[in-house]
Amino acid sequence: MGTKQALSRRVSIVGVGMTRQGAHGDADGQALALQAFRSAMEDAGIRDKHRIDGLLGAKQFDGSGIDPVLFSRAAGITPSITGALDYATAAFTLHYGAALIASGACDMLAFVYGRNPPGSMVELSGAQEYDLVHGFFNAAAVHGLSWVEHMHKYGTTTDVLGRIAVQSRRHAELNPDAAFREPMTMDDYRNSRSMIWPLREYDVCRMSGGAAAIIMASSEVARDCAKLPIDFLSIGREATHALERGVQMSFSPERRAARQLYEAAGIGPQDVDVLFPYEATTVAAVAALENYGFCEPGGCEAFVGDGSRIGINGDLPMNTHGGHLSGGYLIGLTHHVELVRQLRGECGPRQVPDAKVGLYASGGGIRAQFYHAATLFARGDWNA
Amino acid sequence: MTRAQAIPGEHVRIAMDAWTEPYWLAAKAGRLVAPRCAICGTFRMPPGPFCPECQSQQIDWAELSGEGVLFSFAVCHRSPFPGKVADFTYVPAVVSLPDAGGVRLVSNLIDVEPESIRIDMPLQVVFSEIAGGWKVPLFRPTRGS
Ligand SMILES: [Zn+2]
Repeated sequence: MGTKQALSRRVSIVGVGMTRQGAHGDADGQALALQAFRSAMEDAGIRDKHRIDGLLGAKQFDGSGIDPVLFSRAAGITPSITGALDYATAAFTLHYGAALIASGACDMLAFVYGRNPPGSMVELSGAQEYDLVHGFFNAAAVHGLSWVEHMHKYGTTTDVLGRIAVQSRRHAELNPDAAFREPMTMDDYRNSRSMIWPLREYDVCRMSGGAAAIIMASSEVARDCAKLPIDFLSIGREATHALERGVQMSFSPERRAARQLYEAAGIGPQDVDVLFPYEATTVAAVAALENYGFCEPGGCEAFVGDGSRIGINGDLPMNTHGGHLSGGYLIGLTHHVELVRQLRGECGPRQVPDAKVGLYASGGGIRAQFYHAATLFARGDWNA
Repeated sequence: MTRAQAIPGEHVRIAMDAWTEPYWLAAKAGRLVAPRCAICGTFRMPPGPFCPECQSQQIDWAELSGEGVLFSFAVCHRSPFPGKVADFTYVPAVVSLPDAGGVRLVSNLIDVEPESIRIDMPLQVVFSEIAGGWKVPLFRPTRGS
Protein backbone atom coordinates (compact mmCIF):
# COMPACT_ATOMS: atom_id res chain seq x y z
CA MET A 1 0.00 0.00 0.00
CA GLY A 2 1.00 3.60 -0.45
CA THR A 3 2.95 3.07 -3.62
CA LYS A 4 1.81 4.73 -6.80
CA GLN A 5 1.27 1.35 -8.38
CA ALA A 6 -1.16 0.31 -5.65
CA LEU A 7 -3.59 2.97 -6.80
CA SER A 8 -3.61 1.93 -10.42
CA ARG A 9 -3.73 -1.82 -10.32
CA ARG A 10 -5.09 -3.83 -13.19
CA VAL A 11 -8.23 -5.86 -12.55
CA SER A 12 -9.22 -9.31 -13.80
CA ILE A 13 -12.10 -11.72 -13.52
CA VAL A 14 -10.62 -14.91 -12.09
CA GLY A 15 -13.66 -17.09 -11.45
CA VAL A 16 -17.25 -17.43 -12.63
CA GLY A 17 -20.05 -19.71 -11.54
CA MET A 18 -23.75 -20.00 -12.15
CA THR A 19 -26.67 -22.29 -11.58
CA ARG A 20 -28.99 -23.45 -14.33
CA GLN A 21 -31.42 -20.60 -15.11
CA GLY A 22 -35.13 -21.37 -15.13
CA ALA A 23 -37.61 -23.08 -12.84
CA HIS A 24 -36.28 -23.78 -9.35
CA GLY A 25 -39.39 -24.79 -7.43
CA ASP A 26 -39.47 -22.98 -4.12
CA ALA A 27 -35.70 -22.64 -3.69
CA ASP A 28 -34.77 -19.20 -2.40
CA GLY A 29 -32.45 -16.79 -4.14
CA GLN A 30 -29.80 -16.85 -1.44
CA ALA A 31 -29.51 -20.66 -1.55
CA LEU A 32 -29.01 -20.46 -5.31
CA ALA A 33 -26.47 -17.67 -4.90
CA LEU A 34 -24.47 -19.76 -2.40
CA GLN A 35 -24.28 -22.56 -4.98
CA ALA A 36 -23.07 -20.14 -7.65
CA PHE A 37 -20.52 -18.65 -5.25
CA ARG A 38 -19.10 -22.09 -4.46
CA SER A 39 -18.73 -22.96 -8.12
CA ALA A 40 -17.09 -19.61 -8.90
CA MET A 41 -14.56 -20.19 -6.09
CA GLU A 42 -13.83 -23.69 -7.45
CA ASP A 43 -13.52 -22.24 -10.95
CA ALA A 44 -10.94 -19.74 -9.68
CA GLY A 45 -9.14 -22.48 -7.75
CA ILE A 46 -9.38 -20.52 -4.49
CA ARG A 47 -9.37 -22.95 -1.56
CA ASP A 48 -9.30 -20.38 1.22
CA LYS A 49 -12.61 -18.51 1.10
CA HIS A 50 -11.29 -15.96 3.59
CA ARG A 51 -9.23 -14.43 0.81
CA ILE A 52 -12.48 -12.74 -0.33
CA ASP A 53 -12.13 -9.24 1.14
CA GLY A 54 -15.05 -7.59 -0.70
CA LEU A 55 -18.58 -8.86 -1.25
CA LEU A 56 -21.11 -7.06 -3.44
CA GLY A 57 -24.75 -8.09 -3.69
CA ALA A 58 -27.69 -6.63 -5.58
CA LYS A 59 -31.37 -6.04 -5.01
CA GLN A 60 -34.36 -5.41 -7.22
CA PHE A 61 -36.85 -2.59 -6.70
CA ASP A 62 -39.18 -5.06 -5.02
CA GLY A 63 -36.52 -5.74 -2.38
CA SER A 64 -35.71 -9.25 -3.64
CA GLY A 65 -32.10 -10.19 -4.25
CA ILE A 66 -28.94 -10.56 -2.23
CA ASP A 67 -28.12 -8.59 0.89
CA PRO A 68 -24.30 -8.64 1.05
CA VAL A 69 -24.10 -8.78 4.85
CA LEU A 70 -26.60 -11.62 5.21
CA PHE A 71 -24.92 -13.43 2.35
CA SER A 72 -21.47 -13.10 3.92
CA ARG A 73 -22.82 -14.53 7.16
CA ALA A 74 -24.40 -17.48 5.30
CA ALA A 75 -21.20 -18.10 3.32
CA GLY A 76 -19.08 -17.92 6.49
CA ILE A 77 -16.85 -15.14 5.24
CA THR A 78 -15.96 -11.80 6.79
CA PRO A 79 -15.09 -9.44 3.93
CA SER A 80 -13.83 -6.02 5.02
CA ILE A 81 -16.06 -4.29 2.45
CA THR A 82 -19.68 -5.17 1.66
CA GLY A 83 -22.12 -3.25 -0.46
CA ALA A 84 -24.98 -3.12 -2.95
CA LEU A 85 -25.77 -0.24 -5.30
CA ASP A 86 -29.13 1.47 -5.74
CA TYR A 87 -29.34 0.35 -9.34
CA ALA A 88 -27.21 -2.73 -9.20
CA THR A 89 -27.23 -4.31 -12.67
CA ALA A 90 -24.01 -6.03 -13.67
CA ALA A 91 -22.07 -3.17 -15.26
CA PHE A 92 -22.64 -0.76 -12.37
CA THR A 93 -21.68 -3.30 -9.73
CA LEU A 94 -18.65 -4.64 -11.57
CA HIS A 95 -17.40 -1.11 -12.27
CA TYR A 96 -17.69 -0.40 -8.54
CA GLY A 97 -15.89 -3.65 -7.73
CA ALA A 98 -13.15 -2.90 -10.25
CA ALA A 99 -12.65 0.52 -8.67
CA LEU A 100 -12.30 -1.05 -5.21
CA ILE A 101 -9.61 -3.38 -6.52
CA ALA A 102 -7.83 -0.79 -8.67
CA SER A 103 -7.65 1.52 -5.66
CA GLY A 104 -6.07 -1.15 -3.49
CA ALA A 105 -9.01 -1.25 -1.08
CA CYS A 106 -9.66 -4.90 -1.97
CA ASP A 107 -7.54 -7.70 -3.44
CA MET A 108 -10.22 -10.23 -4.25
CA LEU A 109 -13.89 -9.45 -4.48
CA ALA A 110 -17.05 -11.42 -5.24
CA PHE A 111 -20.26 -10.15 -6.86
CA VAL A 112 -23.12 -12.54 -6.17
CA TYR A 113 -26.74 -12.45 -7.18
CA GLY A 114 -29.59 -14.91 -7.16
CA ARG A 115 -33.33 -14.82 -7.28
CA ASN A 116 -36.32 -17.06 -7.74
CA PRO A 117 -39.14 -14.58 -8.19
CA PRO A 118 -42.88 -15.28 -8.10
CA GLY A 119 -44.13 -15.68 -11.66
CA SER A 120 -40.84 -17.28 -12.72
CA MET A 121 -40.97 -18.65 -16.31
CA VAL A 122 -44.36 -16.99 -16.94
CA GLU A 123 -44.48 -13.28 -16.12
CA LEU A 124 -42.77 -10.59 -18.14
CA SER A 125 -39.81 -9.02 -16.45
CA GLY A 126 -39.50 -5.29 -15.80
CA ALA A 127 -42.91 -4.84 -14.27
CA GLN A 128 -41.88 -2.35 -11.64
CA GLU A 129 -43.70 0.93 -11.59
CA TYR A 130 -42.32 3.35 -14.15
CA ASP A 131 -45.15 5.83 -14.26
CA LEU A 132 -48.32 4.04 -13.35
CA VAL A 133 -50.42 7.17 -13.59
CA HIS A 134 -49.87 6.87 -17.33
CA GLY A 135 -49.90 3.10 -17.54
CA PHE A 136 -46.21 2.44 -18.00
CA PHE A 137 -46.69 -0.90 -16.28
CA ASN A 138 -43.48 -2.30 -17.69
CA ALA A 139 -40.04 -0.95 -18.58
CA ALA A 140 -40.69 -2.49 -22.01
CA ALA A 141 -43.12 0.35 -22.76
CA VAL A 142 -40.13 2.69 -22.78
CA HIS A 143 -38.30 0.43 -25.24
CA GLY A 144 -41.49 0.33 -27.33
CA LEU A 145 -41.49 4.13 -27.45
CA SER A 146 -37.84 4.09 -28.52
CA TRP A 147 -38.50 1.65 -31.33
CA VAL A 148 -41.52 3.59 -32.63
CA GLU A 149 -39.29 6.62 -32.94
CA HIS A 150 -36.57 4.57 -34.65
CA MET A 151 -39.03 3.17 -37.21
CA HIS A 152 -40.36 6.68 -37.86
CA LYS A 153 -36.90 8.15 -38.32
CA TYR A 154 -35.19 5.37 -40.31
CA GLY A 155 -37.98 3.29 -41.84
CA THR A 156 -36.90 0.19 -39.90
CA THR A 157 -39.38 -2.59 -39.05
CA THR A 158 -39.92 -5.07 -36.24
CA ASP A 159 -38.36 -7.84 -38.36
CA VAL A 160 -34.90 -7.01 -37.04
CA LEU A 161 -36.22 -7.45 -33.49
CA GLY A 162 -37.55 -10.87 -34.45
CA ARG A 163 -34.15 -11.84 -35.85
CA ILE A 164 -32.59 -10.98 -32.49
CA ALA A 165 -35.19 -13.04 -30.60
CA VAL A 166 -34.81 -16.06 -32.90
CA GLN A 167 -31.01 -15.95 -32.87
CA SER A 168 -30.98 -15.71 -29.06
CA ARG A 169 -33.15 -18.81 -28.93
CA ARG A 170 -30.81 -20.69 -31.27
CA HIS A 171 -27.96 -19.94 -28.90
CA ALA A 172 -30.01 -21.01 -25.89
CA GLU A 173 -30.68 -24.35 -27.61
CA LEU A 174 -26.90 -24.92 -27.40
CA ASN A 175 -26.77 -23.94 -23.72
CA PRO A 176 -27.98 -26.52 -21.19
CA ASP A 177 -28.13 -23.82 -18.48
CA ALA A 178 -30.51 -21.56 -20.44
CA ALA A 179 -34.07 -21.02 -19.21
CA PHE A 180 -35.98 -21.05 -22.53
CA ARG A 181 -34.80 -23.59 -25.09
CA GLU A 182 -37.78 -24.70 -27.21
CA PRO A 183 -37.01 -23.93 -30.88
CA MET A 184 -38.52 -20.68 -32.23
CA THR A 185 -38.95 -19.45 -35.82
CA MET A 186 -39.65 -16.05 -37.35
CA ASP A 187 -43.24 -17.21 -37.86
CA ASP A 188 -43.51 -18.00 -34.15
CA TYR A 189 -42.19 -14.50 -33.50
CA ARG A 190 -44.60 -12.81 -35.91
CA ASN A 191 -47.53 -14.77 -34.49
CA SER A 192 -46.69 -14.09 -30.86
CA ARG A 193 -48.98 -11.78 -28.91
CA SER A 194 -48.65 -8.03 -29.29
CA MET A 195 -47.87 -6.94 -25.74
CA ILE A 196 -46.85 -3.34 -26.03
CA TRP A 197 -47.01 -2.44 -29.70
CA PRO A 198 -44.68 -2.46 -31.56
CA LEU A 199 -43.21 -5.16 -29.27
CA ARG A 200 -44.46 -8.74 -29.22
CA GLU A 201 -44.34 -11.35 -26.51
CA TYR A 202 -40.92 -12.63 -27.66
CA ASP A 203 -39.40 -9.15 -27.63
CA VAL A 204 -39.62 -8.92 -23.85
CA CYS A 205 -37.72 -11.16 -21.45
CA ARG A 206 -39.49 -13.19 -18.82
CA MET A 207 -38.81 -13.72 -15.16
CA SER A 208 -36.76 -16.77 -14.31
CA GLY A 209 -34.90 -18.18 -11.31
CA GLY A 210 -31.17 -18.68 -10.97
CA ALA A 211 -27.93 -17.30 -9.61
CA ALA A 212 -24.44 -16.34 -10.69
CA ALA A 213 -21.21 -15.24 -9.04
CA ILE A 214 -18.18 -13.44 -10.39
CA ILE A 215 -14.81 -13.32 -8.58
CA MET A 216 -12.53 -10.40 -9.42
CA ALA A 217 -8.96 -9.78 -8.30
CA SER A 218 -6.02 -7.55 -8.89
CA SER A 219 -4.01 -8.86 -11.81
CA GLU A 220 -1.08 -9.82 -9.51
CA VAL A 221 -3.40 -11.94 -7.37
CA ALA A 222 -4.97 -13.31 -10.54
CA ARG A 223 -1.71 -15.02 -11.45
CA ASP A 224 -2.21 -17.50 -8.53
CA CYS A 225 -5.65 -18.51 -9.75
CA ALA A 226 -6.48 -21.69 -11.64
CA LYS A 227 -7.77 -20.33 -14.93
CA LEU A 228 -6.74 -17.79 -17.54
CA PRO A 229 -7.63 -14.38 -16.05
CA ILE A 230 -9.87 -12.13 -18.14
CA ASP A 231 -8.82 -8.49 -17.83
CA PHE A 232 -10.86 -5.31 -17.69
CA LEU A 233 -9.57 -3.18 -20.57
CA SER A 234 -11.80 -0.14 -20.26
CA ILE A 235 -15.12 1.25 -19.07
CA GLY A 236 -17.58 3.55 -20.83
CA ARG A 237 -20.43 5.41 -19.15
CA GLU A 238 -23.10 7.93 -20.17
CA ALA A 239 -26.29 9.12 -18.51
CA THR A 240 -29.09 11.55 -19.11
CA HIS A 241 -31.39 12.66 -16.37
CA ALA A 242 -34.50 13.47 -18.19
CA LEU A 243 -36.59 12.00 -20.90
CA GLU A 244 -38.55 15.22 -20.62
CA ARG A 245 -35.60 17.35 -21.69
CA GLY A 246 -33.25 14.85 -23.22
CA VAL A 247 -32.93 12.85 -26.37
CA GLN A 248 -34.06 9.36 -27.23
CA MET A 249 -34.21 6.80 -24.44
CA SER A 250 -32.38 3.77 -25.86
CA PHE A 251 -30.37 5.15 -28.77
CA SER A 252 -27.53 7.51 -27.96
CA PRO A 253 -26.73 10.01 -30.69
CA GLU A 254 -23.74 11.25 -28.69
CA ARG A 255 -22.13 7.84 -28.14
CA ARG A 256 -20.08 9.22 -25.28
CA ALA A 257 -19.90 5.82 -23.57
CA ALA A 258 -18.58 4.18 -26.74
CA ARG A 259 -15.96 6.88 -27.31
CA GLN A 260 -14.70 6.64 -23.74
CA LEU A 261 -14.59 2.86 -23.94
CA TYR A 262 -12.74 2.55 -27.24
CA GLU A 263 -10.36 5.46 -26.74
CA ALA A 264 -9.23 4.19 -23.33
CA ALA A 265 -8.55 0.72 -24.74
CA GLY A 266 -7.01 2.03 -27.96
CA ILE A 267 -9.21 -0.22 -30.09
CA GLY A 268 -12.46 0.05 -32.05
CA PRO A 269 -15.61 -1.95 -32.72
CA GLN A 270 -13.78 -3.91 -35.46
CA ASP A 271 -11.60 -5.46 -32.70
CA VAL A 272 -14.54 -6.88 -30.72
CA ASP A 273 -14.85 -10.66 -31.17
CA VAL A 274 -18.04 -11.22 -29.20
CA LEU A 275 -20.77 -8.82 -28.03
CA PHE A 276 -22.99 -9.13 -24.96
CA PRO A 277 -25.78 -6.56 -24.84
CA TYR A 278 -27.95 -6.40 -21.73
CA GLU A 279 -31.40 -6.85 -23.23
CA ALA A 280 -34.57 -6.47 -21.23
CA THR A 281 -36.07 -6.33 -24.73
CA THR A 282 -34.80 -6.91 -28.25
CA VAL A 283 -34.70 -3.12 -28.70
CA ALA A 284 -31.80 -2.85 -26.25
CA ALA A 285 -29.80 -5.36 -28.31
CA VAL A 286 -30.19 -3.50 -31.61
CA ALA A 287 -29.52 -0.22 -29.80
CA ALA A 288 -26.15 -1.61 -28.65
CA LEU A 289 -25.21 -2.32 -32.29
CA GLU A 290 -25.75 1.35 -33.14
CA ASN A 291 -24.58 2.93 -29.88
CA TYR A 292 -21.27 1.06 -29.92
CA GLY A 293 -20.48 1.70 -33.56
CA PHE A 294 -21.02 -1.73 -35.15
CA CYS A 295 -23.26 0.04 -37.64
CA GLU A 296 -24.45 3.57 -38.40
CA PRO A 297 -27.48 5.10 -36.68
CA GLY A 298 -30.50 3.54 -38.38
CA GLY A 299 -28.38 0.73 -39.81
CA CYS A 300 -29.18 -2.09 -37.38
CA GLU A 301 -31.70 -3.82 -39.62
CA ALA A 302 -29.35 -4.01 -42.61
CA PHE A 303 -26.52 -5.09 -40.29
CA VAL A 304 -28.40 -7.94 -38.65
CA GLY A 305 -29.83 -9.21 -41.98
CA ASP A 306 -31.11 -12.76 -41.62
CA GLY A 307 -29.43 -13.07 -38.21
CA SER A 308 -26.47 -15.25 -39.19
CA ARG A 309 -24.10 -12.31 -38.73
CA ILE A 310 -24.77 -12.33 -34.97
CA GLY A 311 -24.63 -16.14 -34.78
CA ILE A 312 -21.76 -18.21 -33.36
CA ASN A 313 -19.91 -18.26 -36.70
CA GLY A 314 -20.94 -14.77 -37.82
CA ASP A 315 -18.89 -11.56 -37.98
CA LEU A 316 -20.20 -10.44 -34.60
CA PRO A 317 -21.49 -13.28 -32.41
CA MET A 318 -23.92 -11.83 -29.90
CA ASN A 319 -25.26 -13.19 -26.59
CA THR A 320 -24.00 -16.68 -27.33
CA HIS A 321 -25.67 -18.06 -24.16
CA GLY A 322 -29.13 -16.89 -25.24
CA GLY A 323 -29.03 -13.50 -23.49
CA HIS A 324 -31.78 -12.45 -21.14
CA LEU A 325 -34.37 -13.19 -23.79
CA SER A 326 -33.81 -16.94 -23.90
CA GLY A 327 -31.06 -17.59 -21.37
CA GLY A 328 -32.91 -16.15 -18.37
CA TYR A 329 -33.02 -12.73 -16.76
CA LEU A 330 -30.29 -12.17 -14.17
CA ILE A 331 -29.45 -8.44 -14.44
CA GLY A 332 -26.52 -9.08 -16.80
CA LEU A 333 -24.54 -11.56 -14.70
CA THR A 334 -24.97 -14.58 -16.97
CA HIS A 335 -23.69 -12.39 -19.84
CA HIS A 336 -20.43 -11.95 -17.91
CA VAL A 337 -20.15 -15.63 -17.05
CA GLU A 338 -20.51 -16.48 -20.74
CA LEU A 339 -18.14 -13.70 -21.84
CA VAL A 340 -15.41 -15.05 -19.56
CA ARG A 341 -15.99 -18.63 -20.73
CA GLN A 342 -15.90 -17.54 -24.38
CA LEU A 343 -12.58 -15.73 -23.94
CA ARG A 344 -11.17 -18.77 -22.14
CA GLY A 345 -12.42 -21.07 -24.92
CA GLU A 346 -14.69 -23.17 -22.68
CA CYS A 347 -17.99 -22.96 -24.59
CA GLY A 348 -17.97 -26.24 -26.49
CA PRO A 349 -20.59 -26.35 -29.28
CA ARG A 350 -21.24 -22.62 -29.00
CA GLN A 351 -17.59 -21.54 -28.81
CA VAL A 352 -16.70 -18.52 -30.96
CA PRO A 353 -13.42 -19.43 -32.69
CA ASP A 354 -10.43 -17.63 -31.13
CA ALA A 355 -12.45 -15.03 -29.18
CA LYS A 356 -10.04 -12.68 -27.43
CA VAL A 357 -11.93 -9.41 -26.88
CA GLY A 358 -15.47 -9.20 -25.51
CA LEU A 359 -17.78 -6.21 -25.03
CA TYR A 360 -20.59 -6.04 -22.50
CA ALA A 361 -22.98 -3.16 -23.20
CA SER A 362 -25.98 -2.18 -21.14
CA GLY A 363 -28.40 0.64 -21.74
CA GLY A 364 -31.80 1.51 -20.42
CA GLY A 365 -32.92 2.98 -17.19
CA ILE A 366 -35.69 4.06 -14.98
CA ARG A 367 -37.83 7.15 -14.93
CA ALA A 368 -35.25 9.29 -13.21
CA GLN A 369 -32.31 8.41 -15.45
CA PHE A 370 -31.42 6.73 -18.72
CA TYR A 371 -27.92 5.37 -19.00
CA HIS A 372 -25.35 3.47 -20.99
CA ALA A 373 -22.69 1.45 -19.18
CA ALA A 374 -20.21 -0.82 -20.91
CA THR A 375 -16.99 -2.74 -20.34
CA LEU A 376 -14.35 -4.11 -22.68
CA PHE A 377 -12.71 -7.36 -21.52
CA ALA A 378 -9.80 -9.27 -23.02
CA ARG A 379 -7.63 -12.28 -22.42
CA GLY A 380 -4.01 -11.47 -21.60
CA ASP A 381 -2.69 -12.39 -25.07
CA TRP A 382 -5.31 -10.36 -26.97
CA ASN A 383 -2.80 -7.96 -28.53
CA ALA A 384 0.13 -10.37 -28.78
CA MET B 1 -60.56 -1.45 -34.15
CA THR B 2 -60.07 -0.59 -30.51
CA ARG B 3 -59.88 3.05 -29.64
CA ALA B 4 -57.28 4.11 -27.13
CA GLN B 5 -58.82 4.65 -23.72
CA ALA B 6 -57.83 6.45 -20.56
CA ILE B 7 -56.56 4.39 -17.62
CA PRO B 8 -59.66 3.81 -15.43
CA GLY B 9 -59.56 6.89 -13.20
CA GLU B 10 -60.58 5.18 -9.98
CA HIS B 11 -57.28 3.22 -10.10
CA VAL B 12 -55.06 6.24 -10.69
CA ARG B 13 -53.76 7.89 -7.55
CA ILE B 14 -51.29 10.74 -7.55
CA ALA B 15 -48.68 11.60 -4.95
CA MET B 16 -48.15 15.29 -4.41
CA ASP B 17 -45.70 17.62 -2.71
CA ALA B 18 -45.27 21.40 -2.48
CA TRP B 19 -43.50 21.46 -5.86
CA THR B 20 -46.10 19.49 -7.80
CA GLU B 21 -49.27 20.71 -6.07
CA PRO B 22 -49.77 23.82 -8.31
CA TYR B 23 -49.58 21.56 -11.38
CA TRP B 24 -52.29 19.25 -10.06
CA LEU B 25 -54.48 22.10 -8.76
CA ALA B 26 -54.39 23.69 -12.22
CA ALA B 27 -55.22 20.37 -13.90
CA LYS B 28 -58.17 19.96 -11.55
CA ALA B 29 -59.42 23.33 -12.80
CA GLY B 30 -58.91 22.26 -16.44
CA ARG B 31 -55.70 24.27 -17.04
CA LEU B 32 -52.33 22.97 -18.23
CA VAL B 33 -49.43 24.78 -16.59
CA ALA B 34 -45.66 24.24 -16.50
CA PRO B 35 -43.02 25.48 -14.08
CA ARG B 36 -40.70 28.11 -15.56
CA CYS B 37 -37.67 29.35 -13.64
CA ALA B 38 -38.39 32.90 -12.43
CA ILE B 39 -34.69 33.78 -12.74
CA CYS B 40 -33.48 32.34 -16.05
CA GLY B 41 -36.73 31.37 -17.80
CA THR B 42 -35.93 27.65 -18.27
CA PHE B 43 -38.96 25.37 -18.28
CA ARG B 44 -38.75 22.08 -16.43
CA MET B 45 -40.88 18.97 -16.34
CA PRO B 46 -41.79 17.13 -14.21
CA PRO B 47 -42.20 19.91 -11.63
CA GLY B 48 -39.36 19.83 -9.08
CA PRO B 49 -37.60 21.97 -6.51
CA PHE B 50 -34.60 23.23 -8.52
CA CYS B 51 -34.02 24.84 -11.91
CA PRO B 52 -31.69 22.46 -13.80
CA GLU B 53 -29.86 25.47 -15.32
CA CYS B 54 -29.40 27.92 -12.41
CA GLN B 55 -30.60 25.95 -9.34
CA SER B 56 -33.02 28.70 -8.40
CA GLN B 57 -36.15 27.64 -6.54
CA GLN B 58 -38.29 30.53 -7.72
CA ILE B 59 -41.02 29.46 -10.12
CA ASP B 60 -43.49 31.18 -12.41
CA TRP B 61 -46.31 28.85 -13.35
CA ALA B 62 -46.83 29.49 -17.06
CA GLU B 63 -50.32 29.02 -18.48
CA LEU B 64 -50.05 26.82 -21.60
CA SER B 65 -52.32 26.58 -24.61
CA GLY B 66 -52.65 22.82 -24.17
CA GLU B 67 -51.27 22.18 -27.64
CA GLY B 68 -48.72 19.41 -27.95
CA VAL B 69 -46.74 17.51 -30.57
CA LEU B 70 -46.32 13.74 -30.34
CA PHE B 71 -42.69 12.76 -29.69
CA SER B 72 -43.22 9.00 -29.45
CA PHE B 73 -45.69 6.41 -28.19
CA ALA B 74 -46.39 2.72 -27.60
CA VAL B 75 -49.67 0.82 -27.72
CA CYS B 76 -50.42 -1.38 -24.71
CA HIS B 77 -53.02 -4.13 -24.73
CA ARG B 78 -52.53 -5.49 -21.25
CA SER B 79 -54.17 -4.09 -18.17
CA PRO B 80 -51.77 -2.26 -15.86
CA PHE B 81 -53.94 -3.58 -13.02
CA PRO B 82 -54.07 -7.34 -13.65
CA GLY B 83 -56.80 -9.06 -11.66
CA LYS B 84 -58.59 -5.76 -11.03
CA VAL B 85 -59.25 -4.37 -14.50
CA ALA B 86 -59.74 -6.44 -17.68
CA ASP B 87 -57.30 -5.85 -20.55
CA PHE B 88 -57.95 -2.74 -22.65
CA THR B 89 -56.00 -0.64 -25.13
CA TYR B 90 -54.17 2.45 -24.01
CA VAL B 91 -51.34 4.53 -25.39
CA PRO B 92 -48.50 5.82 -23.21
CA ALA B 93 -46.99 8.80 -24.99
CA VAL B 94 -44.31 11.43 -24.68
CA VAL B 95 -45.64 14.82 -25.77
CA SER B 96 -43.54 17.89 -26.59
CA LEU B 97 -45.01 21.20 -25.42
CA PRO B 98 -44.05 23.93 -27.97
CA ASP B 99 -45.13 26.79 -25.72
CA ALA B 100 -43.05 25.47 -22.79
CA GLY B 101 -39.71 25.52 -24.57
CA GLY B 102 -40.25 22.02 -25.97
CA VAL B 103 -40.13 20.20 -22.61
CA ARG B 104 -41.88 16.89 -22.76
CA LEU B 105 -44.71 15.46 -20.76
CA VAL B 106 -45.36 11.78 -20.16
CA SER B 107 -49.06 11.23 -20.80
CA ASN B 108 -51.59 9.07 -22.66
CA LEU B 109 -53.34 9.53 -26.00
CA ILE B 110 -57.09 8.89 -26.01
CA ASP B 111 -60.02 9.04 -28.48
CA VAL B 112 -57.87 7.77 -31.33
CA GLU B 113 -57.51 4.55 -33.36
CA PRO B 114 -53.98 3.27 -32.58
CA GLU B 115 -53.41 2.61 -36.31
CA SER B 116 -53.80 6.30 -37.12
CA ILE B 117 -51.29 7.62 -34.60
CA ARG B 118 -48.21 9.26 -36.16
CA ILE B 119 -45.13 10.81 -34.60
CA ASP B 120 -45.22 14.64 -34.87
CA MET B 121 -49.03 14.73 -35.03
CA PRO B 122 -50.59 17.79 -33.35
CA LEU B 123 -52.38 17.12 -30.09
CA GLN B 124 -54.69 18.92 -27.71
CA VAL B 125 -54.89 18.40 -23.96
CA VAL B 126 -58.00 17.00 -22.28
CA PHE B 127 -58.49 16.49 -18.57
CA SER B 128 -59.63 13.14 -17.24
CA GLU B 129 -60.93 12.50 -13.74
CA ILE B 130 -58.93 10.23 -11.40
CA ALA B 131 -59.20 9.12 -7.76
CA GLY B 132 -59.84 11.74 -5.08
CA GLY B 133 -61.54 14.18 -7.45
CA TRP B 134 -58.26 15.09 -9.16
CA LYS B 135 -57.70 15.27 -12.93
CA VAL B 136 -54.82 14.17 -15.11
CA PRO B 137 -53.86 15.86 -18.42
CA LEU B 138 -54.22 13.46 -21.38
CA PHE B 139 -54.03 14.26 -25.09
CA ARG B 140 -56.05 13.61 -28.23
CA PRO B 141 -55.42 14.49 -31.88
CA THR B 142 -56.25 18.10 -32.70
CA ARG B 143 -59.59 18.21 -34.49
CA GLY B 144 -59.41 18.83 -38.24
CA SER B 145 -55.73 17.96 -38.45
ZN1 LIG C 1 -33.08 28.96 -13.79
